[in-house]
Amino acid sequence: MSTTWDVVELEIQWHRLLALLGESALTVIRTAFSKVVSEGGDFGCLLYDRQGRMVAQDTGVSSKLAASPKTVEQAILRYPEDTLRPGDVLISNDPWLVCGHLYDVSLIKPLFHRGRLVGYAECFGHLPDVGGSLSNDSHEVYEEGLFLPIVRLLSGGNDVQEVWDIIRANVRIPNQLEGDIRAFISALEAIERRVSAFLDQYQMPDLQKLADEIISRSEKATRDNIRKNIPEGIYRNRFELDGFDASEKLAIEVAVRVEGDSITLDYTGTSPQSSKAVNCTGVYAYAWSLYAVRCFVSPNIPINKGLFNSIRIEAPLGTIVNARRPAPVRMKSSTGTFLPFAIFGAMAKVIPEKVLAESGNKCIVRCFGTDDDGRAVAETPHFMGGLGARYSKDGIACMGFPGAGGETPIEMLENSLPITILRKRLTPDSGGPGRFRGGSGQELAIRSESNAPLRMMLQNMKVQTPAAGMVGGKPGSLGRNALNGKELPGKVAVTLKKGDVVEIAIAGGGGMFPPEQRSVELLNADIDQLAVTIEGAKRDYAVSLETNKTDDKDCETVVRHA
Amino acid sequence: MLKLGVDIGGTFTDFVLLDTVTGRRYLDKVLTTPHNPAEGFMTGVKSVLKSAGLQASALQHVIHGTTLVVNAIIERKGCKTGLLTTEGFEDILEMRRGKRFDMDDLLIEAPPSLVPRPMVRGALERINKSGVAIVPFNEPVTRKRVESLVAAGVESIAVSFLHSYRNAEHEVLAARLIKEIAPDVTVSISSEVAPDVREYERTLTTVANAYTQPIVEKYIEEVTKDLEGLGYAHGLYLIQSDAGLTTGRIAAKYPVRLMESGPAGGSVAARYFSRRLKRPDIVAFDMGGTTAKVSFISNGEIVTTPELEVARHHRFKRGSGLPIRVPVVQMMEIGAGGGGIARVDEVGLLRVGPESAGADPGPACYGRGGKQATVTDANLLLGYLNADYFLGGQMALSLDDANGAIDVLAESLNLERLRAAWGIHEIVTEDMAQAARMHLMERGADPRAYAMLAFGGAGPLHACRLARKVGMKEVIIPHSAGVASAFGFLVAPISITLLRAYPTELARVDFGHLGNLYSELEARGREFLKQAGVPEGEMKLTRFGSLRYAGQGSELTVPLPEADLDSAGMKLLEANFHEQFARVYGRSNRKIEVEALNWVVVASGPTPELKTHESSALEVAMESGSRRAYFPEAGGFVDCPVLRRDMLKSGFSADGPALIEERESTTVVLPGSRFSVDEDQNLCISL
Repeated sequence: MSTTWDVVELEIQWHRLLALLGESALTVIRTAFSKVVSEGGDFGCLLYDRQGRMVAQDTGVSSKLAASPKTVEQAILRYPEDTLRPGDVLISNDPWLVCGHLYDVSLIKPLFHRGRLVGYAECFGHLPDVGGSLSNDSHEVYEEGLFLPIVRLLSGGNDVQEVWDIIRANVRIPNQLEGDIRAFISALEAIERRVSAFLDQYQMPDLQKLADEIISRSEKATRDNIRKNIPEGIYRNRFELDGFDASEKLAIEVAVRVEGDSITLDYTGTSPQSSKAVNCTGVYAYAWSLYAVRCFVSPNIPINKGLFNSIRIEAPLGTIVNARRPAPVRMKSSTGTFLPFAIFGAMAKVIPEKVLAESGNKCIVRCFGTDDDGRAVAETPHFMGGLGARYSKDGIACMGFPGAGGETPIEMLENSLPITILRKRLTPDSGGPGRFRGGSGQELAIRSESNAPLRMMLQNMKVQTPAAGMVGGKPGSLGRNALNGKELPGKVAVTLKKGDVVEIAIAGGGGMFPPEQRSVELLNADIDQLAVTIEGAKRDYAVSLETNKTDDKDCETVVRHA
Repeated sequence: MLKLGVDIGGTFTDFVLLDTVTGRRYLDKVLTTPHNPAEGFMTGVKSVLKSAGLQASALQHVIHGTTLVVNAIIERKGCKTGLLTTEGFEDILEMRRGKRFDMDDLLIEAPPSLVPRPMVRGALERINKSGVAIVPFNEPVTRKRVESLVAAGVESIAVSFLHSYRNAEHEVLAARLIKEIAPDVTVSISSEVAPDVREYERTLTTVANAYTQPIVEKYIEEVTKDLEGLGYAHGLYLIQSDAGLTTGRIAAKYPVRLMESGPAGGSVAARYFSRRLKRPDIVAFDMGGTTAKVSFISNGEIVTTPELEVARHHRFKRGSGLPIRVPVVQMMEIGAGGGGIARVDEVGLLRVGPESAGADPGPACYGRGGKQATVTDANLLLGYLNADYFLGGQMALSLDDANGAIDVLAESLNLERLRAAWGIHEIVTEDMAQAARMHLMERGADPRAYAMLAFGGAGPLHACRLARKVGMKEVIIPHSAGVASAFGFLVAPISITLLRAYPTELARVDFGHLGNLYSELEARGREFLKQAGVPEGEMKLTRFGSLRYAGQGSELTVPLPEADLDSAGMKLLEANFHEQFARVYGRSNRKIEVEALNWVVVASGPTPELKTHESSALEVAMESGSRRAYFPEAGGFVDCPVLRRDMLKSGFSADGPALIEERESTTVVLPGSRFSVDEDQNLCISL
C-alpha cells in the first residue's frame, strides 16, 4: 500500500467518485420508464478501472446490489481496448455474465478522457419484459426471451440500428424497453462527463493510481476485520428453500471456512440444478454471497473489488447455485436471494450479533395485459415480506432482504394496469416469535378489471419453507397464493378473466432468541399494534391473559408466570 | 410602510424591522423560548420597536416563520391523531414504500409512525382510478369506527382514501361525519391537503397536517391576540415552505405547508438579492452549527420541488425520514456545520460529521468539555476565527483546547496538526461542494454563470473556498447576513400553490374535467388572494402541468401556454415538455406519449417593492489589525488583514486575503480574490 497518499485527498476523491455515480443514478430514476426501475430503484451504477476492477458502486440512489464481477471482465476480453472508440456502448443480458436472468440487462461504456481509455462505467437494471413465453414453467433459457450476448449497441455515439431493431422486434412493449435502456445510456454518458471533469480537476491521467489505493486500502481493512472480528473455524449450514412446486425439495449446503484473514464459501452438497426456472447462475450466486459476507465483515466500506479479494467461492457446476447453460433461470432470485441466509445461518453460531434472521423475502408479480384501449401493458411490481429479527431488535414489517428495492404505489399500479387492489395489509402473527420478533408479512388481493385476458406470473418465494428463526427464535408465517379462493403453488402463471381475484400473502420474518424471553411489555405493545393477536401470544410466547379493572373498564393484558 | 419579519430558529429568534419607504432597518436577536415560542416572539417585538422608537400600531405587516411544525414532527410531539383510510389499507403508514433504504446496516430502523396503529380505522368505501365509486360510502359502518376513534381520545383526524385526488366526495362525506360526531376534533382530508397520486405520501402528508394542526392553530391564535394587545391592527402572515406568504387563517388550516418555513425565508432573500443585484442565477449557501443548506435561484426564480423528506431517522439516510408532499424550496442539506465532529473511519481516512458537538459541550475550543475536534476548532487553528471576537466577543474561544483535540485526531491519522486541521476544513467544504454540484449538474447548469450568496453563522467563512471548488466566479455576503431569513420574509409575495392529480395521457385529456379542475383551483386561488387583501387587478394566476413520458417515474413541471384547453393547447404543452426535457436530460423522445400526473395553479400577489439603505459617502476603512491565517495557495500561514464589517463603507474595495469580521460571522476572502462593498452594503467578492 502506498504510504505517500494523502488521507485527506483520498477521502475527498473517493467520495467524489461515489457522488458522481449517485448523481448519474438520479438520471435513471428520473428518466426510466418502467416502475420497477423508477419507483422500485431496481438498478445499479458502477465504475471500473482500465483493468476492469470495480472501483465504486452507487448504493445511495439505486438499490440493485447483485453486481456481477464478470460482466466488464468478459466485455474487455470480447472487445479489447484497441477495438473500442469513444461513444461506444455495449449491451448484454447473458444470465451467465450479468445478473442471472434475461430480465437483467447490463450496459457498459468505455470511458474516454482526452482521447484515452481510462476505465468503464456499467449501468445494469431490471426490465419489465424481454419477450419469451408468459410462463414460469420454462425448461431452457431459450424459452425465457431475448438473449443478447455482449454486443455493441452504440458505436461512436451512434445507434447500431440492427441491434436496436432486433431488440425491439423481440419484446412486447418496445417503447417502454427502449426508454429504460436510453435512461441507462444517459446515466453512462453522465458518468463519463463527470469522470472526465474529475480527472481534469485532479490532473490525473486515468483512474489507475486512485483505484490501486482504494482497492488496496479496502482489501487491507477487510482482511484486518476478518482476522480481528471473525473467529477462525468451519461453520456449516444446510438451508432448505422452496422448490418450483411442492414436489421439489431444494437445499443450499454451505461451509464457511474462516482461515486467518480470508473466508471461503463452499457450496458442495447443494441440490443439483432444477429442470425448472429456479436456478441460479454462478455470477449471480457469487454476487449475493459477497454481499452477505460484506454485511458482517466490512459493512461500512463502500463496495469495491478490494472487499472481495479475501473471499473465495466454490460452487460445484450443475447445482442450483451454479447451473449449466442452457438451464432455465427466469426465477433465479428464488434461489439466489437465499444465499445470504444460508451463510448467516452458518455464522449465527459464532457472530449472531453481526447477522439477522431470515426475512420473508418477497413476491414478484409479472403482469402482462392490455389497457382499456387495447394497448399492451407490462409491469413487475414486487411486494415485500417481513425483515428478520436482529440480535438487539425486532425485524421490520414490509421490508425486503437481501434485495433493497421498494414497492410501487397502489394508485400508480391501478393507473397503469387494468386491476383493482382490494386490500393490502400486514398479517397479524406473521412475524416469527422470539425475544426479538420477525417483521410482519403482508397479504393483498388483486382483482382483474380487464375485458381481455390478463396474464400474471407469480413468484412467491416462501410458500413451503417459512423464514427460519435464529438462536432459538421461531420461523415466520408462510406465504400463500390463491385464485378465487383456490390455493395455487408459489411459482405459477395464471390468466385472469374480469372479476377474478388473486390473493397473495408474503411471508413474515424469522425471530431471534426463544420467544419465552420476550418481555411482556413488548408483547402487550405488539397486541396493541395488532402485530400479535392474544391467541398468538398465548400460543407462541408462554403467556396467559389477565383481565384487570381500571377506570371501570376491563383491561386485558398478557402476563407470564415464572 | 413598516414591516416586521420574525424568524424563530432553534437557538435564536431573529427580527428585522424595515421602513420600505426610507429603507431604514432595525435588526434584533433574542433567545428562542422553546417551551413557549410566543414568549420570545413578543419580547423581541417589544425590543425592536423600542430601538426604532415606534409603536406596534404603526406596523402594517408582521410576517412570521417558525420551526414549530417541523420540530413537532421531528420530536414526535404533535397531538393525539387518528387516521381514517379506505378499509383494507389500514397499515399503510407501517408499510411505507417497502424500501430498505440503508443497504449497509443490518440494524436499520424504520421511522416511528406519527399515528400508532390502534388509532387507525378503515372506512367502507372505494373509488377507482377514474373517480368512480365502486364501493359506495357506507355511513353507518364508518360512523361506528369514527366514534371509536373519538372515544379513544383523538384530538385530530386525518382522512385519506384511495384515488381521492380524482374524486373527493367520500372524503368530504367522512369529514362531515366526523364534524357531526365530534365538532371539536380537527379534520384534515387528503384531497385538500395534498391531492396528489401515490397513496403513502398523500396519506402521510395529511397525517402530518392533522398531527400539527391543533398546536399551530392555538399558537397562531395566541400570537395574533398578543400582537393585538400591543396595538397591532393588521393580520399575521406566515411564510410557507415554497417561500410564498400566507394568512394566519390558511396557515392554521394547512400547517404542513409551514414545514420549511424558516429556511424558505433565506431563499426569498436570495431571490431579492438576485433581482436587486441583477444576478439571475444564484446558489444560496446557509451554514449554521449543525447543518449546511444549499438552495438555488434560477433565472430570478426560486427553485422548488413537490416533495420534502423530513425527520430522517436512521443515520441521516435518504429514505429514513417522512416524505411529505408539499411544494417546497429545493434544498440540499448536509449534516455538517460548525459543530461537525471529525473522526477516522475504518479505512483510515478522515471524515467530518454528521455527528455534531451541538451547543453543549460544543466544539473543544468552547472550553466546555468538548474533546472531539470539530470544524470550528479547525477554523480557529487555521486563523479564520478570532478567539476574542466570537459572537462579537461574548464568548472567548480556547486555542489550546482546539489544538489538543486536533492533536489527538492528527496522531491517529499520522498527520501533522496543521494538515489535520486543514483536512477538516477542506473535507467539510468538499461535502457541500458535492451537494451544490449535484444540483447544478442535474439541471445541466454551468456553475460559472452562478453567483454564491452566503449567510448563516459559518456560511461566509466557507463560501469562497466552496464557490471556487464548484467553479463559480463570485460570492456575495449580503447585508443582514446574520438575519437573512427574517429579511427574506419582508420581500415575499402573498402566494399559494394548488394542485390536483389527474393522471392522463395528453392525447386523451377530458377537457371538461380539466376545465372544471382548473376552475376550481383558480377559484380557490382567487379567494385566497382576496382574503389576503390582494386587489383583483394585481392577482397573478399561472397554470402548470407536471408531465412525463408515459410510464416514467418522475415528472417535470411545465408551464401551460396561455391557450385554450383543447387539443391545440395540449400540443403546445407537449412541445414545451419535449423542449424542457431535452434541456434537463440532454435528449427527448418524441416516439413516446406524454402524460400528465398533476395540474397546478400558482396564485400570487405582487412582489413587495422596497427601498434599502441609501449609500453613504466613500470612506477609507479601518483595519482592526491583522493575524496569521492559513492559505495554502499563499504558501501557508500569512499575515492577513482583519477588517470590521460595520466599518466598511460603500465603494471600498481591496484584494484578498482578508478576514472581515462582524458580530455573527467572519468572511474569509482568499488570496487572489478581490472584494468590494456595494451601495447596499453587500460584500461582493470576485474569485
